Amino acid sequence: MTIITDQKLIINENYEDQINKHKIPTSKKKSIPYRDWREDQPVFKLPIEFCRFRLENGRISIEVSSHKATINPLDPNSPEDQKKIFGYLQSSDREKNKVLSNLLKKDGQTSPAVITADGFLINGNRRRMLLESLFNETYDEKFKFIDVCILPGKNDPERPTLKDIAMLEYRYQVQDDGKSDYTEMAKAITTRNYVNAGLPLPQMLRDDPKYSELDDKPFNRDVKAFERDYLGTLDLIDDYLSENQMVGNYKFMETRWESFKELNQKIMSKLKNDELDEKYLAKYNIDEDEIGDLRAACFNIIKLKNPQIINKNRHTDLIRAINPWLSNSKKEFLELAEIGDVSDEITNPREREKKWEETKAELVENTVKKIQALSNKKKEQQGPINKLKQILSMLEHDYLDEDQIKRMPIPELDTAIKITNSIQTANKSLQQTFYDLKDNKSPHALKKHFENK
Amino acid sequence: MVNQINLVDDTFTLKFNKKLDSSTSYQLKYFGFNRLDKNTNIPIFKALIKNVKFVETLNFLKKKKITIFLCDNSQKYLKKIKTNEISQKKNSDYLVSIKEKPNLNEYNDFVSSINYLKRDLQEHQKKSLFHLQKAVSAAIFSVPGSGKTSVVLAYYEKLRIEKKVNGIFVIGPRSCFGPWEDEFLLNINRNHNSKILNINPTKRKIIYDQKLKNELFLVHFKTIANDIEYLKNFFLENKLLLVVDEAHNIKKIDGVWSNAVIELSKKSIYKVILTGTPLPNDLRDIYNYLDFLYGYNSIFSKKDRASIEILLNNEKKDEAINFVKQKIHPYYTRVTKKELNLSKPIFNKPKLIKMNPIEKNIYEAILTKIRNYGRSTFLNNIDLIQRICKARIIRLKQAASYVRNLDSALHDEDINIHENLLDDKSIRNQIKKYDQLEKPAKLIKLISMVKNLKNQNKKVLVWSTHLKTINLILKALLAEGIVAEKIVGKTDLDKRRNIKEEFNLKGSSLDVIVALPQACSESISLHKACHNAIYYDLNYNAAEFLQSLDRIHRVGGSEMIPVEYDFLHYVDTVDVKVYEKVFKKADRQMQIIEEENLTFDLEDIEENWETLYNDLSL
Repeated sequence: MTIITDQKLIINENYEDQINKHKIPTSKKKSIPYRDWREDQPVFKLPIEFCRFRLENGRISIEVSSHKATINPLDPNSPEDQKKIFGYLQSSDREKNKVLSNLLKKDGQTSPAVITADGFLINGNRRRMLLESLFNETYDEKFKFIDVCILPGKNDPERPTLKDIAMLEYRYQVQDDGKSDYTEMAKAITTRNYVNAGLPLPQMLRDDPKYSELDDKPFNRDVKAFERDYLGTLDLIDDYLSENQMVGNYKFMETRWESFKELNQKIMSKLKNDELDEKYLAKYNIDEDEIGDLRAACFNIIKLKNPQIINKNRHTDLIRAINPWLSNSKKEFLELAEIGDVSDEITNPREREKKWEETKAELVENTVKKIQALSNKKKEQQGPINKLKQILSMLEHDYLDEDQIKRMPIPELDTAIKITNSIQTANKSLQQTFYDLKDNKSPHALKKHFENK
Repeated sequence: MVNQINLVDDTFTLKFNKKLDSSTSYQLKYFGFNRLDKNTNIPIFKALIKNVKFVETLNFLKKKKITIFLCDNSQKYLKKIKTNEISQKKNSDYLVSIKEKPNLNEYNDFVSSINYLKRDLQEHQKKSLFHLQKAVSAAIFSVPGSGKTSVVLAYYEKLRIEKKVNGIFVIGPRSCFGPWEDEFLLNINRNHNSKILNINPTKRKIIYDQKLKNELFLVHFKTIANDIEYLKNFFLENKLLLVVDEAHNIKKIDGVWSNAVIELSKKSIYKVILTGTPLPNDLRDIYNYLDFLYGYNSIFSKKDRASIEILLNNEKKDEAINFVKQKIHPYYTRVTKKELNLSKPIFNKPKLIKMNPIEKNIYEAILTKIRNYGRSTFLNNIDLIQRICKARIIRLKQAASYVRNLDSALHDEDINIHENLLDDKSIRNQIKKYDQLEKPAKLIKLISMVKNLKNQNKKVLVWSTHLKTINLILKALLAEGIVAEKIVGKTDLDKRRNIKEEFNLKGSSLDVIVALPQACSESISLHKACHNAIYYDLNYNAAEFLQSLDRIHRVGGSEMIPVEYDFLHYVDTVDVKVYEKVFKKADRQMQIIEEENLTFDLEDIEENWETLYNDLSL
């Protein structure tokens, strides 16, 4: 890992000379979010072979990390590894690749890529990959060149530092400016790479238009939420992978991101030694020395494949059920921790998974079914006040995911408004029933209320 | 190899002889141990002593049936922790015994040592002082009028003689400053040499910087929040007994005042909390007092607080109350009203008065409006219920006190947005010109009652919750040749003290004080020469009402002579309902106050404007 400091970026002079020799000036200009540059920068045409992929690219961060974990670390200077990255980019989002490829065919390259003076792509990896693919497909000469803006080189006083590159890359790749075409897991990995390399998270987020205008208080709250939802979730996945002999193999867990996020938000982030949420422990009657067992039990739930076993549609619903299970049958839930993992001698992730399915899954499923049944029974025994309280807590924050709400598109917001109106109407009717019952205005008030439904 | 834990310098090393399951490994990580080599089958963990939950770790391993060998250093460390726990427990047990069953010889020796005061302490005060001295820092929750200030001043004098402190620093509301100076003179045989820090910030800073020139410092809560950094230095330079009077003002968790006061408390060894109403609303009100006395979370840990929160959320109030009671029991003393042996107060039946025609007309007009609006109009807008109920009650109360109180409502657009109770032109005109049209019937009755008492050489304390009413009463009394003064929020300290001193002087010319409970119900004694109070109107605040009763019913005057309370009500108005409600609440609180142990009035939290409004049965 490169440590980001104010140290100047190392530039391969040989490559820089080659680029200078082969770059063709154009009349186009483009602004780039480098430092506080305001003036548009010249755009050059460059043969695509002089542009190389960077390993730090967020879009392929899952693959790069998983490659390192399962095979070996990739070397950006190796032509073979460049081909591998090409392959990862090719398979990263085939649908989007297809759309962009068609656009390139139809309109040509409309937005230039950004490269370092020695040719590493800061922005435009996918375009670079697609141009090469199109050239291989059509042998059309126009796909042999890529439009680029080139960052200052070795002898330029504006030559970038490592920090400049990180910020520029972050601005292009991670900020929510409509290019949200890579996953939260990839965003988390990329961000953590920057943080580990010395670029503080608040500095990165302050640069993001989504956060830049916020006052300190809401900003700090959002930084905390980001830390929890992205970095915290990733740490949790790391723990899980480590315990399952799969360090760094994020690819294997890609589909479980939302479940881990839910698990971290609702449970694990509350159980940290230095920020222990005592209220959470008290609410669910958890002793401090049960935290290890609780986590092990949750990890067994993560491994379950089929949420339908308790009539849930999504895997995250399984995670969401954990807190109610803790309320109703903590003892039985913690029994899940006793179901150990498969032998460490099996090191291949797929084999481990298979073995777990064969030997452990049924036991976990049966325990979960038992807990769910106990939970249902307890719910049935609850009185109206408890049920109303439950409804209220669902409406407040326990149930609704703040982050998901923030990302809702406008048509969904309209639906949400309609639903909230219906909630209001239903609530008014229920409230009127309670008033009537209290005032004894109508002895049949309750009957009437349910007949009207 | 056996499982073992070694402590060298400040680092623990935890070695196991076989592989651990992931749950155990993570639990150890949670307790502060970092695993060194994750791939080995013989796990080794290391941890800095300051980061480790050592006792919890040992208990956990025991629960998991993992036997572990402790090196000598680890055993010594464990013994040290246990000794600390035992000594803390012993200390709290000792304080309980001081309260409940003091060693007689020790207590008698203590009593005979109190020979440094100008005025003798009463028995209950001696007990409080005994507890305070043994606890070093503690709370006194005795009822108003029981002489808490004298106890603290006795403690201060003792500490000063022993050269443990050289000044007393009292934080409180402005109204307490005068009484502290007076009590200093009465209890300690020398000039108080006090400094009230209500001067400008530059002058205050000069005082903080220079050598201690005063003995008694009196400071408002707000000043602490403003000057906290300077004050911390001031306390580092000087040894001061730190007192918070009327401490319910710092009950707000994470409040600006409370945070500053608790921050300052770290700089003093000797600290006292004083309040007669320690828990007016909420169990959690107690946290700040104990944080102030013994440090953040020392008595109520985060875990304790969370447990209380959950018990309250689950409507297990009794369990929560018992938990809190048990925790705080060692750290406070309390004397109930009963123990003070005061005369039994006489609550006369309220005087029912018929309204005069115009005030009746205005009151009825508001009432008709309210009835016409009904509940259904606002039921559709749930958010407005509370505001409208509050506005309606306020208007009715204003009208039943003195219709000119409604002046503000004539211009109150905020309320008018929702409903306008005063949109009738003729009614508006009647309100504006009321003083030219008639005198309120209540006022006429009040004047006659005051005259009657004056003829018997009795002084009277008149209470009203409305400023305009207070001015009306004052004007009417003066017009009748009755010497009267008012005490409201704006009355400055000197004026307040002069009024108090003159009023407390038997035979002085000042016959009546007209007072606002919000401004006068705390820290002022008016009992030396006055034994009659008349309540012109009331508000719903029972704690304030109880405090106001105590102004003329206190130690040092009310032991032999009974006090009388009168109430003026307009027939068939809000007066009657408010009185019933406040008395009910006050009654419950008085019972609570009379109980040996502290109990809590949690019911009040749930009371809102809507229920109060419904209670009026309009």
